[in-house]
Amino acid sequence: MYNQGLTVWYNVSDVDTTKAFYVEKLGFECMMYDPEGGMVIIKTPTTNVEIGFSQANQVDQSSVSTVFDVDDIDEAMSILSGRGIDFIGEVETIPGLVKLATFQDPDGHSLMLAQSLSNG
Amino acid sequence: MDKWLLDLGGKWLIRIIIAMPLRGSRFTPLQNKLKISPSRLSENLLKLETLGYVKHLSPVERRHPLLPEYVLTEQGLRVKDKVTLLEALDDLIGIKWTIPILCVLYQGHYQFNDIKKILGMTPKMLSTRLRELEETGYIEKKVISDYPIQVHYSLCKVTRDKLHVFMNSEY
Repeated sequence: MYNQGLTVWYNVSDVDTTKAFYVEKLGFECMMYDPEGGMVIIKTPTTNVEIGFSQANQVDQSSVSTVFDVDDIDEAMSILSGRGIDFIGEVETIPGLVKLATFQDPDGHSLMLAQSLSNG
Repeated sequence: MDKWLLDLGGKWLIRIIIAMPLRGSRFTPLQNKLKISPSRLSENLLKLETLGYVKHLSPVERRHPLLPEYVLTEQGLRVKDKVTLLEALDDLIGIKWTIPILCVLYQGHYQFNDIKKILGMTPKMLSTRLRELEETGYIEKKVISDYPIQVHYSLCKVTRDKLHVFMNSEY
């Protein structure tokens, strides 16, 4: 029934600012960009997983988090900090599961880095 | 005089209703279509919402960020139906008071004071609009008597023809 595709959609206040953030700061690839229609789709490093952004007049900060898996959270944080990402608080650890680092996109949508602590 | 015609005077309100697709629209495509500043569009959409022609959907109501943020209400859809009949007078839509003045003339009121009273306009605004309409050839001005001076305004035949379908359609 389901295939391999997954897209998460957000409302944002300015697609150009969003595109710059996800492409230039986070290093993702832009898959589709339509400034006239106010839409941009970003390709994540996970195959067939994309994030879509639609420019809206009213943007509510979402309380869900999109979490990106990384091999080494300290290294990833240092790279992203170097590109101007501000992390919120300290790295949080859920024992036996993950280490988490929180940051936000330009509209305040919550994003996280996660390093798995489970074996394998 | 239909209330909506008076409600929707001004540069943008009718234009927004015309530009809004039947299924509704997101803000940005509408803004690009109308070539209007975001703040002005926001302000006018809010006006349309207050007047009951447009409904703004919250992010929760929209379900998907690509779905319309603004939809026409039943009343808005009726107006949209009606104003498409004004296409032949497209140049005049968005010049405040112009279409209402033509409608009043169509209904057979041809004296300055009658028109002013029906529309509740200031004399200065009415004389400006009448002068423009006369200069652009939409209406004619006839001096009926010199003393006391009496002037009658009437639609040119072409204007009357263009308004005919609009004035005789259901709302």
